[in-house]
Amino acid sequence: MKRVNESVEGGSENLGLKKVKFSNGNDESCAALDRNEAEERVLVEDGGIDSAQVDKIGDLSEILVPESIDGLSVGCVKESNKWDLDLNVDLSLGNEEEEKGLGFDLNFPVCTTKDVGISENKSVIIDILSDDSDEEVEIIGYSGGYNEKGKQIESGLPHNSAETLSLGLGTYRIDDVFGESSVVNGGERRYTREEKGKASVVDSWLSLKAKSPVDLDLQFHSSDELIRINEPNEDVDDGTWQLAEWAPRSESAERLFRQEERALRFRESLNRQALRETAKRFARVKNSDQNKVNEPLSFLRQAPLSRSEVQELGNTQGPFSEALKMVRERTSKRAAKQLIDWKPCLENQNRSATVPLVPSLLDLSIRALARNAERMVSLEMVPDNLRERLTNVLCDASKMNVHVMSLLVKGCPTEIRIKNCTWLTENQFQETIANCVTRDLQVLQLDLCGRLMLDFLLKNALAQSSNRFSSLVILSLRGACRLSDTGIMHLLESTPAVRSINLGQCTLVTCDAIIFLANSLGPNLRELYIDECLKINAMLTLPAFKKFKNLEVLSVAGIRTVTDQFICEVVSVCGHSMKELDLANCLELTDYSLGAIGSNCADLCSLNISNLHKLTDLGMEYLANGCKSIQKLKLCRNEFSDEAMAAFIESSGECLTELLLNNMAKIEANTAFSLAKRSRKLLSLDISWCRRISNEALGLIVDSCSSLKLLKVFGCRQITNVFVNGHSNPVVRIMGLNLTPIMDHLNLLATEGVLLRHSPIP
Amino acid sequence: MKKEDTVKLISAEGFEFVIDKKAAMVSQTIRNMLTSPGSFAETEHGEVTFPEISTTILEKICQYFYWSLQYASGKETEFHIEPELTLELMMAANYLHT
Repeated sequence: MKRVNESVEGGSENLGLKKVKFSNGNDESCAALDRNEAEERVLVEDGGIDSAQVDKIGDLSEILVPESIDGLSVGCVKESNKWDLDLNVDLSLGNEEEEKGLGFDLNFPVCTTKDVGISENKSVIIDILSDDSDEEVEIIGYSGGYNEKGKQIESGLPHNSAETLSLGLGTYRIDDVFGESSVVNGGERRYTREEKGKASVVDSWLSLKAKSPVDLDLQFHSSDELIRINEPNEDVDDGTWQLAEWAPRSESAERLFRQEERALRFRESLNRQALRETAKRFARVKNSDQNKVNEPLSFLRQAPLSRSEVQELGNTQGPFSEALKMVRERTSKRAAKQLIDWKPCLENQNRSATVPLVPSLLDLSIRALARNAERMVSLEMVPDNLRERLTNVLCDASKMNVHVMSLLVKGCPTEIRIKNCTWLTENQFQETIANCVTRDLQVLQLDLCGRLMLDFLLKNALAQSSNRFSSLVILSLRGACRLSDTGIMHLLESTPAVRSINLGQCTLVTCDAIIFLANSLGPNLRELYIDECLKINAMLTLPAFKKFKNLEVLSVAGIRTVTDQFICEVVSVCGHSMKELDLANCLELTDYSLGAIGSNCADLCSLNISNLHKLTDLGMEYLANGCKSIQKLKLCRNEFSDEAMAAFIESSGECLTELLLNNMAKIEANTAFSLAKRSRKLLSLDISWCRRISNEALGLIVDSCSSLKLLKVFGCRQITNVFVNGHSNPVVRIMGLNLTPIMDHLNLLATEGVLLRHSPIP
Repeated sequence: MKKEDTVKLISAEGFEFVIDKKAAMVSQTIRNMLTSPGSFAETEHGEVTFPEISTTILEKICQYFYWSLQYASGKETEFHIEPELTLELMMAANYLHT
């Protein structure tokens, strides 16, 4: 269906047109694509598809070789030469599309229109435009794969299956719409909106609307035969590509080949530059750039650290400094890489990356039950943990409905856990919850019930009988976006025994609710989740937090107003009982907070400090000295150095069971060595996007941590079969390598039957 | 099948299913019973009784054991479960930790 021509041309064409080409072939280029995505598969090799190859070069010299397209023997092309030719010398209208598509005909320094043109600065710039804009950019990533709607798109370039350039853009597979955009669309080279519309474009974050089009100023100091494409009118919407002048066909044919050579060389140099430019576009805004002046932190006088005590790393007495000394000594003797002494085991060379995970009978029967959910008549004898698993499966399959819910609420249930109530309407709520016997109900979880005006519903429901939720211990109304303070207050009036409240992502909740909570529950509350409740101003809730004396689990992730002062005051009140803290994305936090945590929270088990870029190694030191029994540590995009991390693990990493080291750019051999040495209880390790960890390092870790069940290596292209086939850990499941299933292992580490996470039910 | 390699599973109604030990070990519960250093009566006789599990369910469970071994060795087929059995099968599987 697509013409052969089309496929090739289309590619070029698209490429020419505001396409983002991700050339890569080597790590550096891919480093530019530093995204936290599920899958990144970069593949550009020689003899690849023209587009890929051309992409590789980073310039847009797609060359169409209409005549020589024979199916896709593109693969055999060693260099892109073949494709670099624009034998489409017949620069008549008929071929305009092709030319246009090219955008850049290497041999003709093409200056296309704004979309695809050459900019003054002579750098190859790759534009990515969102589909919101008129100009669409197609990202040439995969060919084949799925467009954003999840439909499989035919690959315009069949070869691409072997060599696809994955942008690792999450689950999107950017379809390279080579075939889609109709190349030969009449004689015009107009990228109509429709064509653009067909492109599968990704998120708007990609709308890096580059002003300067691709530069193809490959000025080969044109002799007259060179086609020079001036940049006439930057016709934004139009996208017409105009050729200023071009030589007649007969002449250019030979010259093309000659110029190719030059072009190739020139391209290489442009490549680097282009990639650098591209990389900038993908850079995240580093929040540190927006630092305000640090106001003198007056509270610090009472805080555990005063300014005078802020030491240099490793100067305080403590296990961390000793560990750091040891680490430094270690690396002074020999390079870190040499520390890792691991050889892949050669016997298992044929082992595939994924050993089949046999589904358990429990899973199979739950799935079967979920499929036949309509026929269930009773869940009477089914224990709570199975009910929960069943409802989870149903919610995931979007099959949860009021019938099942009525089965759940029948009788005198002790737990009602539904993790996805988006389907629940107000009438259904009335029928089920409002009418159920909640005398013994201990757990109520109605997450994501955004459709309900809970304020009214609860008021009405509770008006019916006053002690309705007298045994309720755990309440979760995550994502109840229409729940406001008044609703919470009503609810809390009839739940005297509640110990755990989850109001995550309830956007209407303000600090009034927290204050009310503190007044009514105060020292009884054990778990509080207020992550992403953006209306809460943390500082205003401080007086309330002083009353939560026995808080064990606190999650304030995503609340920007959380500052060092807040943390210091909160942990000074409840630090002795604090077991889990989630501070992800509270960007204002600095090492002072870690210092406060270290001094007050000796029993801390779980800490999440993702995305806190202001933390430094000093913070790590405080943490290591203070919290010796951390089991779950989540770091993401932090700035800790390899040595500090290694020292932390040496001194306090013994109890680690889950470690997330996502996107920690500086982590390498030292950390790996320490992990292998100390963290023998590790169950789950995530080193996605840590590109400096080598095969050997990972092999050492995996072989030493014999209880390791789950290893995630998304984005780690440096991990190859050397590791996969060479490690000798029979139990570990590796996720994140090319084309391995990623959903099978979700329940691997799930714990069941846990009510309050750290204390018994009263 | 030699006697030493087999285990006998007895259902609520008294039906006896004789299966390979290897197959029975798919169930964590049975595995613990048979391999624990303690002195479960079951270890000695090689028999395990399940007074709460009915015959049809136990039969299905034994089928699952063999299917699981087959799956792990590469032959991936589908394990069909009759709708009537699902609920009880789920609970039995939960009990047997399989």
